[in-house]
Amino acid sequence: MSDWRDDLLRYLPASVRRRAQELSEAQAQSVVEIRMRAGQRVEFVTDRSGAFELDWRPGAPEVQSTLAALCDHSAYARQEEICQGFVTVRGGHRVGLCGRASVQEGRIVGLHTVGSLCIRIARPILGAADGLMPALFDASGRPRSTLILSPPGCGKTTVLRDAIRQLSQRGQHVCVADERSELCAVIDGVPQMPVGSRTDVMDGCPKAQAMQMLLRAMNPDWIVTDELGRAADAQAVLDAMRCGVAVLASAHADGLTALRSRPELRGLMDAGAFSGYVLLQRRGRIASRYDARGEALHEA
Amino acid sequence: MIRILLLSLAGACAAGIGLGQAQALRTRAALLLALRAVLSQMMDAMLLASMPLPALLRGLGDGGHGARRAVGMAMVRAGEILETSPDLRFQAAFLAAVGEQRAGPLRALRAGDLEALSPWLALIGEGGRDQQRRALEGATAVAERLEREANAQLPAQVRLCRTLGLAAGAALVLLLW
Repeated sequence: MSDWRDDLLRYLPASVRRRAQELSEAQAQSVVEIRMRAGQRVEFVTDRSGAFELDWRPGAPEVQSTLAALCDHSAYARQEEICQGFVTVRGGHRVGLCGRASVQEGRIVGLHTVGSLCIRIARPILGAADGLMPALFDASGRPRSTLILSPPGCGKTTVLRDAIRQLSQRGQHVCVADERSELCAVIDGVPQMPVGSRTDVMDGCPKAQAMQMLLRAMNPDWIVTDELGRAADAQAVLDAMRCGVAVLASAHADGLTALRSRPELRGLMDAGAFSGYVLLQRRGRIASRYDARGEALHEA
Repeated sequence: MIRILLLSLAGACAAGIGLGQAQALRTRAALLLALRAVLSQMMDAMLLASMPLPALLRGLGDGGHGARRAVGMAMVRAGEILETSPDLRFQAAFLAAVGEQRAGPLRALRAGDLEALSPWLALIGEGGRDQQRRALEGATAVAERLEREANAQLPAQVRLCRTLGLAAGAALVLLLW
């Protein structure tokens, strides 16, 4: 049985569990998402742009019980994540949520009557960062801070996760600011993903604060973080680099032009903060590489 | 001689049952007090430390003795049940754990005690922090009320059970003599 079924099946309603158990190994490996919507058929989405559906339609209580089980009956401890519309569960799988938001003074303070779950199956792909690794060191073997760019769904997180593992295996001390628990999926202090034995994870903490804490406390060779986007993130990256620590990060953008159009991140480019940029296309493949000035180095 | 021995045994049994009832009443009050302590510990762990429920329940088995230990171990067992059957809710897991231990130290708890706590126990582990606070405060308040009532009735009930037991024992001896 594949890993996701080991992690997830016991939390899912009996009908979904039964159908998942009936899947062949190949079918199970192709499942990338399980979608549950109140009143609609449960859908298994596969990586071959297809989907198969169950006859069973869960009601809202079943969707909510599934969420409660996925959260280990500890929604109170996951409230910040839930307010952001997701929870990361055992095995590193990410569950996206839709429901009715409670807003106070413009801030989401709760998500109630959850009616849709999108369980995204996390699969570490060993070797996903093989193409990236040479770009992370210069000719003399010194680390080069690098920003990975791609539109959503192209495998940034997978590549970043494998890069963490490979850096760690090369003897580098890697500290991860894992705000959404996506990179390392820490549960009870233990990363659920293969991220190497020299990796320390600051989990669930806002990136900018996490990077400052890691810088002060953990003496890292590398700080790795996912999805830079806020001005505070950019400032924390600059602080780390001024301290001589290499940063490996990712951001949503389909190219350097799109990156420059984001004022929070343009400052990083102008300051020459990163020694290189890597643009990914589908399935984590490298489409282009750029130097610190944004000049193309290599076209795939 | 055998007759005297049998009569004494019957009397002692009747007296023992009476005394046992009195002890069960004391134990019930102690269990309710322990339940309050455990609920308060849960509130701190949930709201101050944001500790997930299974880890929190595992930790409740540490320390304590007597009634506190019995309630703590029931919580630990509830945690184990929840981990093996995540589709169950806390209330069902707790009641199952108490059910398993009814032959043991938790037998002094009455079905009415668990029924009174039920609406609040049903909310534990479900919803956000505010809901947990309300659930735990509600359950603590019910446990406190039950304990107060138990303590208020305790002296009279203990006296009654003891006296009835001793009287029944004596009466049995006289009747059978």
